[in-house]
Amino acid sequence: MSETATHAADPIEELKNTNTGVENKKMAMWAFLASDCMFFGTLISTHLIYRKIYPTVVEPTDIFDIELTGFSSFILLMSSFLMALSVSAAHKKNIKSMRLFLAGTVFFGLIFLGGQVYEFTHFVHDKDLTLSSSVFGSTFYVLTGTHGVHVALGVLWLFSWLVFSYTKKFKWVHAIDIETAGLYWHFVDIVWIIIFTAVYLVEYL
Amino acid sequence: MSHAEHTDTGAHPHIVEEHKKYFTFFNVAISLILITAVEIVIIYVPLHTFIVLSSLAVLSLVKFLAVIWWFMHLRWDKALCTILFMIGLLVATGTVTALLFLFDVDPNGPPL
Repeated sequence: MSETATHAADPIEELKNTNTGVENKKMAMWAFLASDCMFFGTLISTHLIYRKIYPTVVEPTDIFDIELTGFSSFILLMSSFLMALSVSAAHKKNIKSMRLFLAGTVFFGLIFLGGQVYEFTHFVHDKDLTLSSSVFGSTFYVLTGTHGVHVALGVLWLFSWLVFSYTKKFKWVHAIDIETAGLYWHFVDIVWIIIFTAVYLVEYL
Repeated sequence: MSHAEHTDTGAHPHIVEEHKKYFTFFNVAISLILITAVEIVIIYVPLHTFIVLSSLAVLSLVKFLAVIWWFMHLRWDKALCTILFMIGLLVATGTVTALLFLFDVDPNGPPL
């Protein structure tokens, strides 16, 4: 790919030649994320409603470790920052930075997942909070577990792009795919922002 | 080295804009960390529950909006993306609010 050819007909800009002026892949991802908002909305409301109806079934502050959860939040926010930098690097056609930030995002995502596995293990073995022990356990594990599955899928998705970027098949037109994966990753982050407040912090009031 | 490993360092306008975004992203990331720290501290501050709850709601909303506005590029993308996402977000928020009002605490105690 010569530099002249890159500027003459930028493949990334050509993708915007749609009826909406937005790349189709990006549009599809935004539509998916809008639907995923409703999905998480139902899970969050289910948790809050059962928490409201059965207020004394467990004392969450005896179970939660807010320092660990705060650390997990920090990790996920930083992974979002690295993802934004990775997308920016892809648009600048700087493959080394793109790979570095993508690897950082995956690494931070894995730390978050590790923290969640540790948290779940601790809750089950030390606090006797299981999926079937109480209504709180059921809604808590379904909500945070679904979010964890989203994070795991995001990690796999980003890691596959990191690996793919080392192959000869990778072209700069794939920057839109990195951006689309990035949108998904940021969404996972904003869902955690809500869960962190609605499920964890509110219990300490 | 593959074709894609070419690094474009020219002063193309969109490259310059991407360089500016780095500092924006950095400032947003620092702000998000600080807000998260404030959120954790504020739950231990002996204030009225309503004040703390309102503060937490506002702070998490600010974080939420910061991520979608800057990290998710809505700031620079076409308004259509914002509209599309807001439709889903509003329906979700409406559903959560409606359900929370629909289910009330039973004065005779929780159901078995």
